[in-house]
Amino acid sequence: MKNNIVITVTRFILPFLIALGFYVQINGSDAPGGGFQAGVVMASALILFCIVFGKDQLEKIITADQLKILAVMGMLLYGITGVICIIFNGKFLEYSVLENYFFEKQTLGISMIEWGVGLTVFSVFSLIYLAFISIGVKEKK
Amino acid sequence: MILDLVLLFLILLVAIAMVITTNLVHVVIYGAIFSLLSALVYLVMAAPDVALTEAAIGACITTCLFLAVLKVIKVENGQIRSHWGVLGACVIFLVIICIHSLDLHYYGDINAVTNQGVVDYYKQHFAEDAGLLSMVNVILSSYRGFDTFGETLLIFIAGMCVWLVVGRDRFIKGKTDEK
Repeated sequence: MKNNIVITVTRFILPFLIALGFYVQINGSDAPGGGFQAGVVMASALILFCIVFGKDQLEKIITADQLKILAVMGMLLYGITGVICIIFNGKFLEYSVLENYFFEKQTLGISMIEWGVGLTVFSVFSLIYLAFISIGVKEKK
Repeated sequence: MILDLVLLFLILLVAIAMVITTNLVHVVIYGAIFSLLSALVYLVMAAPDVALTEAAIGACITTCLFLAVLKVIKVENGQIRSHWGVLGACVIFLVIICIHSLDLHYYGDINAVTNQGVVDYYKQHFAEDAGLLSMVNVILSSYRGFDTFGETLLIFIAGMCVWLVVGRDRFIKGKTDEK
């Protein structure tokens, strides 16, 4: 899409969108939002970039293979948090055993699994969009 | 109260327009408007988490996915023919939903099933149990952590399945070979 207005507005709006995603992710424990919402906002930022600047520009930043690795990493972060709780003499996903001087009660465990959820949701929604986009590209050629 | 009624009336109008129109692109755009209005309704009902999700998923990502699919399927200018059978199915579905909506509780009813059981425990103990301020987040990730694990796994598996069915790994590899 080569429309100057669209490109300018997108360049203006994208940093705010990404910042909103990180805000919802980090501040999700005390405000509305959380991992799922943050992942969806970040995925919408990626989709906006892909619509305006094209798929070739997107592949210079992040490719579908890297997105797949990110999705697996998110699931692993969630699962490993549960296993760490078992190592610290707790049950699976019992975050209160991770309490220490810096993080009170279950804060550390909950923020870790929220990052896992956010990472997985972001990569999966971007991946679904890229899958449908690549069908159209193949038919044109 | 008035804001609530105005939003619900607008939602009704958009839904009727979505049923009547015969252009698929218009249907997608009406769906986006419907989701935005629903998000506002959720916000009025003091559910900002759901409103955020509805605005991002319903209005943004679903619209983009449908537009991407419309680019792929072969429909002339997005026009579709309407059938009487579809209208009959819609009417039957509407009657069934209206009958079942009589069983719903009123908004904020304290005798509703969703306001009984463990909800009182969650309301009273979430702050001292988890040390967080957001009750929704504590319920989702701490009390119901195993369910959320399953949901995340579900999303992951769904994404991988979509990529297996319609993704083009071969196409991307061929393109890198050309370079």
